[in-house]
Formats: sequence, C-alpha cells, structure tokens
Amino acid sequence: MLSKILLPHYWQRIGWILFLPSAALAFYAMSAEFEFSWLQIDGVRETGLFESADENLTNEVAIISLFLSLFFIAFSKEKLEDEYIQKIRLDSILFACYGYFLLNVIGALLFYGVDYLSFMMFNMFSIPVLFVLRFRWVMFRQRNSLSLTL
Amino acid sequence: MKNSIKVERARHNMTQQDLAESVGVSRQTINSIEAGKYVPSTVLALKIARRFQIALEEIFQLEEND
Repeated sequence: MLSKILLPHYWQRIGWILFLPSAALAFYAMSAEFEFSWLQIDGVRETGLFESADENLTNEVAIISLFLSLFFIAFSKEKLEDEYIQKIRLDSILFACYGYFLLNVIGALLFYGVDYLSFMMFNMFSIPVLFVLRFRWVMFRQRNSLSLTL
Repeated sequence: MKNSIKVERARHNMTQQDLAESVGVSRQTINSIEAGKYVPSTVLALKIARRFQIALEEIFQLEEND
C-alpha cells in the first residue's frame, strides 16, 4: 500500500547539494539585493514611475532553486521506505500545515501593514522547511532509540 | 492493541533485523510495533503471522480501550 508518488532516494542527496548554494543565494539576494549581471534582461517592460524597464532574474532563480531543492529533500524516498516511515511522513506534513497556519496568524497580528509582503515571502517556505525538520527529527530519534535496544 | 512479537521472535531465535528483513520493512518499524507505538497495516500483520506460522490473533490482540 506504499505511495508511489515519491522520488527515488538519490534525489535527496541532489536536493541537499542544491540547497546550500540556493539558500545562500536567496538570502544574499533578499538581504543585500545581490544580482548576477548575466541574469539581467534589458527593456522587458514599459518604464513606469517606480519601475525600471530592466528585469534581473537572480531573485527568481534563487527562489525556484530553493523550492526545487526543498522539494527533492522532502519528497524523495528513504533508503528503505515502508509503511511506518510513510506514516511519519504524513504526520509531519500535518505538523507542517499546522505550523504554517499558526505562522500566518502570528504574522497577520505582528506584521500586517508593516512588512507583510516579505513575511509572506519567507512564510512560503515554512511548509517544506517545517516538514523536513520534523520528519528528520523523528527519524533521528527513531535511530537513536534503535541503537539502545537490540 | 497489544502484540506478542517479542515472544515469538525469542521462540524463533530471531533479531528485530531478521524479522524486518523477512517481511520487507525497516528495523524501526518492527521496533515501534513491539513498543506498541505503531499499529501495522493488515498486510504487514498477516506477513508477520505467516512468518511465525501462527494465526493472526495469537500475535495481535485487542485491548479494552481499543
């Protein structure tokens, strides 16, 4: 009865390798407005009052690669995927959704009108991040309790 | 739900790893079932019973609060 809609195990490694540079790039691009000059496209839209005609794709590349890497990490199989691990997986997704809703409520109370857009921007990543943290933590505890009993 | 997997394992002189391999799950799964933390699917329960060659009810029993 195992779900077949998971990536093969090796995608997890690809995800982690992709995660560090894309997280660094996303952080750098958002906090310091860092942009790669080779990702610049000139004159893609009409110049507006606050908008230049140029578009730099660094932000988009950072966000998409960060999402892809989190997707690979979160949704690739374990080495030995079985029904118990899938139960932990589903529980963790529920946990992540609860966390996401809670963060939304807190964010609406604290940031509404102030810096709501950047809060929403970070909150986009809370579901995959909370999922990975919770899932890895439970798997880690499992492994620890295993080494105690034979 | 309680179970007597640990007893059956001892009777058959099997480790958790042996049982896990013979029914195709991870050792964590067997460990959690023995500890009562996880209720296996019917398929897995039947596989475990078949491995020990005894009836399902001899391994898994309902408890009062189930």
